[in-house]
Amino acid sequence: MIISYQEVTHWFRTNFKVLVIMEVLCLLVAGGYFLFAPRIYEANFSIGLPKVPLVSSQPNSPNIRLMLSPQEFIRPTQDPMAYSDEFVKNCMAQDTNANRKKMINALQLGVRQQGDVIAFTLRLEGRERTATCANLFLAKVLEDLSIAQENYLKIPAASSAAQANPDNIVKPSLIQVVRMSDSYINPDLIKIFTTAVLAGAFLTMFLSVMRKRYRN
Amino acid sequence: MRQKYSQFFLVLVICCAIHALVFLRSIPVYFLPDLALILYLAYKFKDLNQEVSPLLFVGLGLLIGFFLLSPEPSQTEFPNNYIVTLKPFAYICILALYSRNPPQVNLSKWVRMFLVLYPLILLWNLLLVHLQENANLAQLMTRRPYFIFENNFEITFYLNCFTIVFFVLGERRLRDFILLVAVIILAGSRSGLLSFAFIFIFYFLAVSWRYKIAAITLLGLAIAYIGKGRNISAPVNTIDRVQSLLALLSHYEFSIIEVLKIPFGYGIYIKVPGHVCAKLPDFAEWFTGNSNNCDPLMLQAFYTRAMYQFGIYITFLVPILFFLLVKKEMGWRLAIITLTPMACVATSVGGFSNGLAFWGVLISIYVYLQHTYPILFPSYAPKAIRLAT
Repeated sequence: MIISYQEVTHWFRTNFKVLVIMEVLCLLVAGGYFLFAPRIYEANFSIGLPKVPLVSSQPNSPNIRLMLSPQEFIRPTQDPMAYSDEFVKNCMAQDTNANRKKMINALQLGVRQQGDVIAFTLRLEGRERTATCANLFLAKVLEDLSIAQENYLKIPAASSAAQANPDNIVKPSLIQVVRMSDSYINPDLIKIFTTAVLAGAFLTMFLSVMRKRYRN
Repeated sequence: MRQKYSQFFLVLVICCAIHALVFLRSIPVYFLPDLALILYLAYKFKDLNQEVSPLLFVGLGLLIGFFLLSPEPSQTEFPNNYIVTLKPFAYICILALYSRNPPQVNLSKWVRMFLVLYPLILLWNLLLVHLQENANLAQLMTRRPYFIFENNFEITFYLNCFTIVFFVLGERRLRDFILLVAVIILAGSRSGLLSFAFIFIFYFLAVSWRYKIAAITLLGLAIAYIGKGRNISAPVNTIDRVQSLLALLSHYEFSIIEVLKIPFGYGIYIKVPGHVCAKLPDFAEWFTGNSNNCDPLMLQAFYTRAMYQFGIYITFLVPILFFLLVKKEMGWRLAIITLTPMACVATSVGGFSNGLAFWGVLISIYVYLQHTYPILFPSYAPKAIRLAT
């Protein structure tokens, strides 16, 4: 494929009208999409994972550890079937299989600080719904982790270690309260219009190739 | 001859003045190579006329794809400097479009001149340091002098100038190799030494036995000097670039399967995971001024950053695309030699996303075209060629 200045300028001269029409059309579509697309809001919060005394025979080993690793926490949290009907209904308005998957896909989990903090980012339609759902998630994970820690400490070896070192028990904690985005994060105006401009250019190229091929 | 020397001294004085200005005033210069590139593209657009590789569309697809389709960043986090991240794809497009569009200036003359100029400018930098800080010889030996940019980038460009003169123009002077070793020693760059070691292999295979012995002696000298100055014998995991690579690999639990599982990486907007960032707070502060602003640029080395942002496949695809585009113009042997400095420095800094390193590659191609096809790509310096055309 040869590209030259003469060809490029010739292409612009011969396809200028089509280019303008395509750009205007694409920008209109982009504008329409921007106006009518659902507004996605973001909620962020983070929690500290529980810590328990280490059951170890080594005298100089560290005497505290995470009760579960970040991955051991993240994997079950991303299971769409791990949530009650009521939870999904409160979060997504309706408990359907599609909504369960949508809810999980709207949730991003990250590991922070020394690997002992989990950051939640939830992106859903509507400010109120996102805030409600984030608070539900927060309450659920804190409750689940507290119960799991209590159950763990009932194991005899863990229980005796806990009695010997009561200061080494760290309960699951709220590190950052639910914080909402200042405004919607999607649709993104810049990206939509960049896509529209590029689409207009590519469509014009496509049309000019087709015209050349079938008119001659 | 006299005119040649007077021109050389004039350029030397101008370069020293520019360096003094940059050194004493701390002028921001990081954007200059890309600004020069944009101006060159605009200036030479009128001469655009070449067979364009279909790889242009691959570069374009990656550029647009990563810009538009990367996962959205969280609004509570600082935005990333993603323009730098996208630069390799832009360079691929430029290479595909402008590889046969050299300027009508005799570049080889300037490249030869730069080979001699650069070590003198480094010495000028050391003199300025001595005058400003009253530094003694031992202190000056630990400095890493530069001309305009960080010396890691400049060494890459200088190595390209050397490969142009030695491999493209075929001027096999020992003087140029001695100057190269002097620059490597003065600059004290570890990634520069790595690039030099690879270039040395090509040099070693190309010269006679007498030169081979001299080259080995000089290489030993460079390794001994930088090895002592930059403490190369220290454990590998104390090197900052190795630390950032290990920190990132810990995110993948040191498992190749975990790396392969994310084919297109995490995109250009996502921060380095907090627990990785927490291991490297100084790097984040150094790059962004805030230890919580974990821009993937803090990982420094191109390969480390690209593995996280683009995924392992695209990380390897980028050098391959560069190679295919350079090979199209120069053949595979010269393409390997030309891209070696860039590929080596990418273990330490931006490499494929660095404007100056890209200029080194572009100028190599242009000199090759001017030297190999003087009728097709004339430059106004050599009289004989002017007469021939």
